[in-house]
Amino acid sequence: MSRVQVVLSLPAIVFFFLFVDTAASAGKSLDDVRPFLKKYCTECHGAEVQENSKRFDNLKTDLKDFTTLQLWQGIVDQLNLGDMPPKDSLQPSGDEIADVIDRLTPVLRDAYAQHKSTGAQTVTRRLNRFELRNTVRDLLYINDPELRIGNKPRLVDNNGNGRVENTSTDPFRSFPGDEVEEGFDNIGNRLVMSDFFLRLMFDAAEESLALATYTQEKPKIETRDYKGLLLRTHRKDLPRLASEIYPNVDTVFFREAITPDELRGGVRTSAKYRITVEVSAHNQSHPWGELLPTDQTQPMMVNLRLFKRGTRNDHIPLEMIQLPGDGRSKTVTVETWIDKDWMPQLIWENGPSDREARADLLAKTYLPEVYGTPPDKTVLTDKKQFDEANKAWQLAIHQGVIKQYQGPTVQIHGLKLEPILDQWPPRSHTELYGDESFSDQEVESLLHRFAERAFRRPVTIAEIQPYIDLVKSQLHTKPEVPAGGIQDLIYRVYDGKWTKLPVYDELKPVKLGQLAEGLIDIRVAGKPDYYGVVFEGVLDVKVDSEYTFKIASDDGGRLIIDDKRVIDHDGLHGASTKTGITQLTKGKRKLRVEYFAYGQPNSLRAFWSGPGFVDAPLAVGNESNAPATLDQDTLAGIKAMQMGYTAILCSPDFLYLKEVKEKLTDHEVASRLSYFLWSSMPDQQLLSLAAAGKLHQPKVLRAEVDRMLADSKATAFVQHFTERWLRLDKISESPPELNGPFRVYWDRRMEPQILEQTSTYFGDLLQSNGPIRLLIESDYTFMNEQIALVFYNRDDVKGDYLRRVATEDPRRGGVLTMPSVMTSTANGVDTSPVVRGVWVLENILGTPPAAPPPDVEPLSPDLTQAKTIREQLQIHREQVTCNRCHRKIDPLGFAFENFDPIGRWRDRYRVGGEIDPSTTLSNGDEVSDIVALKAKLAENESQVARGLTRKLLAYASGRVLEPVDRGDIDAIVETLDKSGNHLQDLIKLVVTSDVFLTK
Amino acid sequence: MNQPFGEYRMRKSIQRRSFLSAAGVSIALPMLEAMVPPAQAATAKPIKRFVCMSNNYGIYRDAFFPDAEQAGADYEMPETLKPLEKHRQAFTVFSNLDHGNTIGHQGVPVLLSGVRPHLASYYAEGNMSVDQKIAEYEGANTRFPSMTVRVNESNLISFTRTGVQVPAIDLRGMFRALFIEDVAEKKATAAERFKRQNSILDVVLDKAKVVEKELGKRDQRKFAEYLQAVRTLEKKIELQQPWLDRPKPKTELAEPQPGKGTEADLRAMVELIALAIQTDSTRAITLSSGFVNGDFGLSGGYHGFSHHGNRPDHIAALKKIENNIMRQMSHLMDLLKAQEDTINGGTLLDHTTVMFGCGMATGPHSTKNLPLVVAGGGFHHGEHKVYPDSESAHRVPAANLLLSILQNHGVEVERFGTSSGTLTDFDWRQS
Repeated sequence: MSRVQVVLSLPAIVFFFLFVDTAASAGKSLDDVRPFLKKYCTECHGAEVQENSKRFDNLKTDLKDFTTLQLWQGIVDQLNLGDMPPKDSLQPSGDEIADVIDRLTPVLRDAYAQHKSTGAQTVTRRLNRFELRNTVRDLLYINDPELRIGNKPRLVDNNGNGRVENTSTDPFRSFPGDEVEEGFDNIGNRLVMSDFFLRLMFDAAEESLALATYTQEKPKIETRDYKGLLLRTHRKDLPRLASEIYPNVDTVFFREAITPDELRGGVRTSAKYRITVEVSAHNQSHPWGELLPTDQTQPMMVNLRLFKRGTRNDHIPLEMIQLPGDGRSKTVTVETWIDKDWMPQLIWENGPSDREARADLLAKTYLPEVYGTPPDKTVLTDKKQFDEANKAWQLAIHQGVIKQYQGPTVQIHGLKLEPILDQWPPRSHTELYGDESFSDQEVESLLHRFAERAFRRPVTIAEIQPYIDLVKSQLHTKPEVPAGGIQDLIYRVYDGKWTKLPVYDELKPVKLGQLAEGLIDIRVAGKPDYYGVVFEGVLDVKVDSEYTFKIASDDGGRLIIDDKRVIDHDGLHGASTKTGITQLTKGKRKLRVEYFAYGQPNSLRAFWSGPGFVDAPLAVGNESNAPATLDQDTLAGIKAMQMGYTAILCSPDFLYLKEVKEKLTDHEVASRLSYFLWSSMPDQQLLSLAAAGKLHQPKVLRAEVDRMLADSKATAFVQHFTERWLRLDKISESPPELNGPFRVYWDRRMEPQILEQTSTYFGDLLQSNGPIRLLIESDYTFMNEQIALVFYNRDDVKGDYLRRVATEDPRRGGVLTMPSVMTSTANGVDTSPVVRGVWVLENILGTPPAAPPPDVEPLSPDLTQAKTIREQLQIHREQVTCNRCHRKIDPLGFAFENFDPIGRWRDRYRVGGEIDPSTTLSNGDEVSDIVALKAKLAENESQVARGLTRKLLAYASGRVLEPVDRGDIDAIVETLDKSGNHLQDLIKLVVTSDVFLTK
Repeated sequence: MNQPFGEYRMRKSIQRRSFLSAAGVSIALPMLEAMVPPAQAATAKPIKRFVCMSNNYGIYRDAFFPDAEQAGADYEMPETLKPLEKHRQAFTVFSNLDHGNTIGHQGVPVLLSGVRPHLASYYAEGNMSVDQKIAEYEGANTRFPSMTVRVNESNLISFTRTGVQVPAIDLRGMFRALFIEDVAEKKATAAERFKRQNSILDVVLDKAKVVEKELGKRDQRKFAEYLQAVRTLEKKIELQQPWLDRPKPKTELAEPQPGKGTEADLRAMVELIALAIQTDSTRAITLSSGFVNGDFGLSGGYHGFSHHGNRPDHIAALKKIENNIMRQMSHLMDLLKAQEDTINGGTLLDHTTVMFGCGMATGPHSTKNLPLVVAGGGFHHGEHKVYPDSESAHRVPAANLLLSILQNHGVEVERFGTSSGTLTDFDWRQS
């Protein structure tokens, strides 16, 4: 039997052996193997010689000693891999090898089970940045699209003049990257907590609460119904002229973004909306295929998406509308939250480009009678005449082409935007503040509900008493009147429409009150326009001196001290500043400020300056023009509750996944599960199942996996796990030069696209529960137009969205040779078989090589490239100690040499000649190129599954795997193999494993 | 990090030096005892300060750098540096140091770290600038951990650890920050914020102690980080709070009126900087200065002049602008030299590193061979230091100078920004 066959039949044999009583015969089994060792191993691993410090002639059989266990495991591993004995030594027969493996494997598994309790526990694990963002979003029901999964806040350097701004509203934008171990950023033992982190968390908590709080009144949003032309400002002639000829509809000839002109600044008010669009597609089959190469077999697709103004491409896809190509229109409705800076957009995804849909070319080829004769420069020698004639001719062509257009078009008949304001304030606000009565009872129940979700488990009132006390003490604290503020400040509000200040004392106020904070605030009027207010209070003047007062009022304002008019700023005007100076003596001075507001906008700011102080405010600053409809007491209550919530968000029960005993509680399992598949907090269903004590039942766990993977929150798993598993975080470590030979990487902004390609591939395989083998080789991949052009030399893929594409090219299926992986394993300048080889060992096969000896000189790049990389690495062969590991590393990497530092195929190096990807694997197999290597790896499906299992277990449990976990891993791999090695099945095995369900 | 409180050093006599104009304005040195945390005993580390002057358009190379052949002490003082001639023994000028990029104007914000903003995420401390690193180190030792100021220009060179560009204040803002008490409302807001943070941290710490008891030994060891974090944060807030109540230094100096031209404005700013150092209001300052139409009798714009195209009138304009910067730098050195360092002994200049540098070397967008001059701080000065050509394989990163400045300051770090080590051949008195 060849070794490969041995490996494949192993599971069957082991299955049989499991029923043999192994416990008592452990020692006996091990002794039985000694003759084999003596014959084939101890020459190099015996009394006289110990290669690699391994000695097998005097191996103990007490497997409680961990070192001994590891030695025996090493023997099994080497036999399984076919690496030992080395080619040049005496070779045992296939039967002999099989016999040894079969005896040893079950014995070792038992030993591992006994070792279970040694270490290998998850150390208490803090939430990382990715998890915090998602958790806070879900915990506070925040709608802000900045917190959507996969959105990465960026620094913006405007105009390259050096002014750098981070304009995101993501509360976690300034968090530093998390500490990484074995590629994972969620390893409990590795993540660090510091006062710096805690301070950031403080600020982030306050910002998050602000995002969830709405103090303004229900916005009045009108339904906007755009019929006829949505877009009236076209740059291109074809659609512009078409809008003149067909003014009732937007005719789309090529791929461009269509948004109603009025919405180009965003929808301007954040709220939930219902978007209704009516679109039709025409001439899916058409005779102009030569110039307009659309895929006529595919339905025409229009992408309805949200787009953020002022950005290059920040968008959220809503729905991909497939249209029958015969002109029948389709109406689609979508309900979604739209932030004020975003707008709905329609893009014909698989339409021709604007370079292809050109009237003059189309006319010349297909409508010669429309094309006519272009004006001749030699005949019309006068430039002005020629230009005029040319312009007229172009116009005629365009109109002719439009009227006789036989190519494909899309028509947009209308877009309607209706606000959905059934709930105001939005849920995020009411969840936090209830009905805003803030009695002690309310405080308790609000905090309790929040804490149970934040701490992800049931919580007693006693436990949260400190938070309750904190909030209550804040509620009952009278805010201190700052010394510079106005004492005993009262106000009287009047209703009316004036153009100058009335005599208020003759009128009756509609509202009275006090402003305890000592600052004038026109929001007490409770309305945005047509009112007046009189403020009266006392100024404590400390020193005899001259004092300067300022008022900026829109509209009229007047400032009076001790009955003397210091500033008269009456009438209708904008918020200009007027100054008044007056001498004041020490003591309590009467202050009176009169104000009226006409139409919007309206504002009032006031300051005073004196000896030792400048511009002390007398009025609150204007954060927004929208008046708060909430009174001071409610605002104070909100502020107090925010304190309690901030405290909860900075508490260890929130920041850490607390796991106390070895066997996890149901709630601890719920948290693990949700952070595994959603990178976020458990939802109500998970918490209910936990409360009912069901989350240890495998059937329930498997059902939950199904449910959770079908939820859109699973995108977090697909994106984040893919990045961590394949070490795509390194993609930006040594990026290619901006203007170098790989500039297409930057020019076409490939990085986000190729990352999305990989995670989409993985996500697709996951959803379809595909076989793991397809991660290595497949006959399909995902492409969009740019990726297809740059990396696959295909021009038959149109549009920005990624879609599944069949490839007949065997070099390109699977993830190994995807551009994202190739870029992450190169350094932006050249490629290294060692790096890529190590990558395969670490991330695909799960057999990371030992670290290189400490004094190895790094390979300096041969800039003259006089030697190929193969020649440079020859040294690995020549040195015996290097060869021990590098015979396993280098060969795997050579096969990838055909992929340049950004993942494009190359047959030759830029300097240095033909590339030779052939290689000999450590087990002696010859591999001619990447296709052969992938085939070899795919054959070894079990090994690949094992590697992936290890990665999933580490990611899911937040700890690095240890030798003692071997038993669990083996069990998973075996079970998985029996059912064909499918990806979702593996997830379920992970979730029902001991590694996952114990600490 | 924060310096331990040690023995308070009594000043034997209070030397009141007035270094503002002969109009007899004196700076009353008020109650230094109340303001400055008790200084350290003679054996502890000295307190250092850092000032960086900069502009956004670089310099005219031919008039700035000494001859490349004249390394060492006997170099002929180039035209632009002539105002520093009297301080020859107290400063060093560097040739061939830069940050290894070719990014024109985008080099300006890179000066004090070597790290470009959009690559900041690949560095442990992001593109934090050296003044902000010092600010973190000094913590609440001074009222202002740092001050970022500007004269007729945008200050683009200060970045915090998290990539935030620190907004700059102008001449009036600087004066008010140093000498005008915050209005009561601002103090009340700040006090309220401290109180809120303290209350929250108290609750959180109590919860943490409960959690700690529940955990196993291995977890407890990890969880100690959290307890430590809370305690450290409380301590930092505690150190910051007293600044709310401590009075600022008083001055009879009137609030300066900007808008008198860059020569007068920059001079006034430099004098405020000297006062800031003298009153120990801060220990890290960055200043960017520019040009307004009419300065030095010139009409035009700084950017226009900087693209001189070898036109004599443009070059003459640049020289005037740069000469002024150097004159004010020299004036700053005069002021600091004349003032006794009451905390450390010696003069303020002995313990203040004054640097002039630009992230973009010249107007025509070169970022190679950045203009860099360093004075004071206890470094060994007096020479023109020439490093290997910036194109050569042995080029020295300018960030090495920044690392040297940090270590001199007392910050114990082995690397900073794009440094590869401290700057060779540039030592300081280890005291």
